[in-house]
Amino acid sequence: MTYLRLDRVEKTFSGLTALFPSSLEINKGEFVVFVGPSGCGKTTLLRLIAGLEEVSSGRIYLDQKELTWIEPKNRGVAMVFQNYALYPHLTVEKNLLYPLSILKLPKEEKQARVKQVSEMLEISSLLARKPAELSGGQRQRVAIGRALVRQPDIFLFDEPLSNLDARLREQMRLEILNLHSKLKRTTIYVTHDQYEAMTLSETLVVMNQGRIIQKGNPLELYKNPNCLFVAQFLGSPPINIIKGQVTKEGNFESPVGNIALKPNHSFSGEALLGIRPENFMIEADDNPGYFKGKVLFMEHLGREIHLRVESEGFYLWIISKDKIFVPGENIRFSVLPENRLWFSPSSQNRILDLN
Amino acid sequence: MRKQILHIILFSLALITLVPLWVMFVTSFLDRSGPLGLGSVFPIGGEFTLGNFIEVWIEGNFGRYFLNSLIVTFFITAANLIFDGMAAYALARREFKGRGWLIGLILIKLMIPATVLMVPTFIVVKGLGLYDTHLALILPMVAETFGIFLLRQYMLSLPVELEEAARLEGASDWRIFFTIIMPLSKPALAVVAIHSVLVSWNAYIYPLILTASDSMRTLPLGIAFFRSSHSGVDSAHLMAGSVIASLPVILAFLVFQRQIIAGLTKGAVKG
Repeated sequence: MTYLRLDRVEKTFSGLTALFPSSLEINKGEFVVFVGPSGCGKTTLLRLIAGLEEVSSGRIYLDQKELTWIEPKNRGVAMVFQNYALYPHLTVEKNLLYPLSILKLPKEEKQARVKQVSEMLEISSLLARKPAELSGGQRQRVAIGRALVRQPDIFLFDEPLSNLDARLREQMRLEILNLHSKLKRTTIYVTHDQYEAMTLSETLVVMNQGRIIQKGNPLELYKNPNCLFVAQFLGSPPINIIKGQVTKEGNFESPVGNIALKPNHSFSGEALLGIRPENFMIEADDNPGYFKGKVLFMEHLGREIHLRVESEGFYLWIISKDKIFVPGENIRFSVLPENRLWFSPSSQNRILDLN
Repeated sequence: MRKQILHIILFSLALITLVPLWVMFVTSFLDRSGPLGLGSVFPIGGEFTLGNFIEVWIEGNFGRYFLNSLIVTFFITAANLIFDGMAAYALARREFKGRGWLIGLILIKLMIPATVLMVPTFIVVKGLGLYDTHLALILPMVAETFGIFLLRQYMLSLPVELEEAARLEGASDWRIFFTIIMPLSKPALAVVAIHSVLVSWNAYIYPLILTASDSMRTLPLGIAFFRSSHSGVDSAHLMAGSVIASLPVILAFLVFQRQIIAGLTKGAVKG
């Protein structure tokens, strides 16, 4: 059931469009991640939902009620900021109490909520400290705690982990997931990190240049991107793109190699073939349609091996499960029809009827 | 070696600054009067007495002057902190039509010499029927361009997210101002307070033109009138009056200065 609904929401800043009219529906309890490069409008969209910015046009509904012109404090949202936004002159406990004292709750209730949240986030021992005396990870916990004590309907996270180092980020990511599975609150999370986006989201919203490009299950988006941007944005190492020609006879011809396609398709002309690095099969034999290339270098990650392969001016990433190659070695590789993603070079959109 | 030379220079400068203070201090306790001279630096003979202070305080009406100075300085400083703070916050963070013009207008006020404003201020104060009252000394000074700009610059450096977070948490503008912005602006507020205390405590010209009666005089005026009304300079009494006038401000400065340094070294603005 739709909980939060954005209806053609648009935002312009002094003539410049930060967000083109965008519509979006979010279900109750869903964990949604907005992902995209910087300047794509993801933070703007989040701030519109929070009410920190006013929409230029369009409407926002929460639970059937219109939210568009409601003040931020009455929207039932809590936000965790990238730089934590802890009040530096207040102790951790007073930081947690600040939103509660505005709600004018009875004293016992306030104390109980602070106790519950600080235990849940394991910050009970830090209550007397000031933010300057905390580590990055601890500050982040307090920031999340301050969002939790208000018991909001929607949690908003604005790149909350980008100021943390890699290990802490990993840990906090798991804790946020854990928290969500415990509390089941609707959560909207903004990040530019595709890895974070893929691992956290139930629903992924990919944005670019002020537009929502594609929305869906993260794995679905990874396997079935609707355009070149989504295909290239998701995945690390990134998807390989090979430029070539689809001939009238139904062959794909490229410098890397040729593939025989199914005969009954309408498309001909220039096309881009996208292949995920893990979808290459490294072959020993010379078969028609197979690609060839030379290994430049190898990255050993333990559970898999990343090969950088050069072929006629194209540079490809290939993931090998166990086979080891030496730089300079010539290899042959192929890809199954269902793992080929075709794109139009002009519109950048998917071409669906090839293969 | 260079450091030693520097120390010698600084020491000499400190000495030059301190000698008049020393003379004032020593002379104020002397049981005799006479013109000030080289001999005043280390006076020989004469007896130590507190009589000068008592006489000045009671007969010279310095008690009254002291009270007036205290009232005027306290209210001007308090008003400056609050009103400069409010104006600064509005100019730093609020979006409204004509904000740029308003900032420019306030800036222009910095360039107008205080002397030029004396007559208009007198006319306004007189017109309001406030002439020769405490309000006459306080009201024209409740907001200061210097304070507004200093605080505005400081508030601009505070992270916007703090206010946004507070707003999301339901805090009103007043609450944000008094519980977040003002406490975080303490280092800048301390500077404004020092400036305001010094200026209003030492003010001479404005109290001179805005008051008439003896009971409305502040300390700087009191000293001046004391000097001119007692023909034949009684330097011991004059110096006792000067000590009364300068000691509080020196003490206040030391207290506030410590606060400034504490505020600056804390540097915990970024969350």
